[in-house]
Amino acid sequence: MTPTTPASRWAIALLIALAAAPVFSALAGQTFYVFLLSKMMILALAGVSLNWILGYGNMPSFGHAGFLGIGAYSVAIMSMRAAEAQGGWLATAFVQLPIATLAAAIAAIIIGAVSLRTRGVYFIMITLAFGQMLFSLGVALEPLGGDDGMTLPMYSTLGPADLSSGPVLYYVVLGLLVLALAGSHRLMQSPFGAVIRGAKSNETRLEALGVPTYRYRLAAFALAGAVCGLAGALLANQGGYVSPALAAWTHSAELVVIVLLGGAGTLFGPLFGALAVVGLEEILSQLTEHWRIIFGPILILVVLANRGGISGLFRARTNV
Amino acid sequence: MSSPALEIIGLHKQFGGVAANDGIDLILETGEIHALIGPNGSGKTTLINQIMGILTPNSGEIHVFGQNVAHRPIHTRSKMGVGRSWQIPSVFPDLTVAENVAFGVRAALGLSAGWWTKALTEDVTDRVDKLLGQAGLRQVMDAPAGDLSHADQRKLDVAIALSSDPILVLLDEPLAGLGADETTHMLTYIRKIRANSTPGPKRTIVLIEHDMDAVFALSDRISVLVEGKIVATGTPQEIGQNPIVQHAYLGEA
Repeated sequence: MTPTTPASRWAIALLIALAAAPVFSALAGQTFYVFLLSKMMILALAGVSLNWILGYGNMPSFGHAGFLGIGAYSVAIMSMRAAEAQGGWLATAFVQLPIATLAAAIAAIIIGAVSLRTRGVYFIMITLAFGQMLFSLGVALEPLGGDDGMTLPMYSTLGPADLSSGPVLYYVVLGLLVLALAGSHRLMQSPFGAVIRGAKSNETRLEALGVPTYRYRLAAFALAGAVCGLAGALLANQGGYVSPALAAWTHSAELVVIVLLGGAGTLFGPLFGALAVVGLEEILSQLTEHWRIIFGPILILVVLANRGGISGLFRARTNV
Repeated sequence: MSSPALEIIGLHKQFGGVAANDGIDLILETGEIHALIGPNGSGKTTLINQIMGILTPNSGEIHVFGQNVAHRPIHTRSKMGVGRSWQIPSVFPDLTVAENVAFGVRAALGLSAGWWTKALTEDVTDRVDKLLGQAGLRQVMDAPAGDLSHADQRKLDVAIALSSDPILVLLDEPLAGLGADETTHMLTYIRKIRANSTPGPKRTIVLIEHDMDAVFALSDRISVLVEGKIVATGTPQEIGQNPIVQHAYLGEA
């Protein structure tokens, strides 16, 4: 998808609106929306990473939130150490975010190396199982609060500021999201991206052309895990809190919903998906605490009526 | 000394209780078009699946230009100069026609699939352009392959097989589902494939086909498979007169 399709024009307008949003919410005295939109963009970032494997590559991982957990807990551990030492280099975002990303990448290489030997429903089951293992690991980590999780003793620092500040976190997240989207576009138009997209429909033929697809799929899986780890590190700072629930399968399912609802295998799908999921959750949960009863059918209708998700809706409308 | 393009010795492939290939011996000389004919289920596709590495034989040897490849994985075949087309056109439907042939072109140029370059760089587009021109697909090169007609997908399927510049080409029913004009075009195309426009030897072609007029027109030699065994090998003339073949396959006429 090139940046000239209707969906991408909407997406770019949305990103510009997002860049301006904190100013307006500050003027209106509604800082809560900065908090909410930060969360939305972090989930969009996680969605972008899942889209590489689920959307473009047809690797339906149901354990992707496990990498959110790894990223978030990496930050929690480093922030505990940093708090004991009262600051220092271990507290800075420039150290914490790369280490969280790297930790998730290593986990993804191991999980991917095993999982990618399977296909279809087996791949779903095995990634689900790995995700639940990471969830259980979080529960077992008593020094980090076990089941209950823990409040971050200190936030990732960024020069004189830290990520506890709503606007600072917001613009860090927005910057990283824009980078991830630009990278996503470039990556999927590259020879590497072509292999990932090609293996989705016809892996045997690719192999017959001399392309060892397993390696490329594993690299994509590792990259997706890494970027999701980064999202997890941001999510820990956004909530000021980590808990095993971050890695739970329900959270993985939420990421899958974001990708499918937004439009799997489209550049901006995860952005639309995250906006729709976080927005609907916010609006519907004000109407009733049983908001999922309404949310579920909406999801089913969008996916059934239009397999291209929200990105597909833009395309369908302009074709008429 | 030069090894034959393809030498198959005592090849055996079992599916449960059925011997799909039951002791096949076959030698192909460089530059020949060798047709495999036989009734459905006689083991033709099973044979080329093993040459390609998609299936592993139970026993026997497959030598490609002197190297035994029977137990090597699929992706090693392209480096050895083997390419194939599929009985049911096997394209990448979501990708453009140009992207479909770019994989093999890049593999032939020894380029791995980088993260950060454009998929169609200049050295690649030259070859892509030539391949698509030869196949008669240049005008649809930017269309998604899934949008092409059956005949065009068939041409693309063969173009993909040629994209890695193979010297041994396995064509699995390249004429299936084509109309009369398209068949004529494809026959010309297959002859061009053998002649090999790139510098190098003539290509060797294994052709599976049910269109007997085409088989007799194109082939240098023909082997007849029946129930997993080769019952006859010879020139088209020899095969046409062979009583076993007439009985088993061509009908008694």
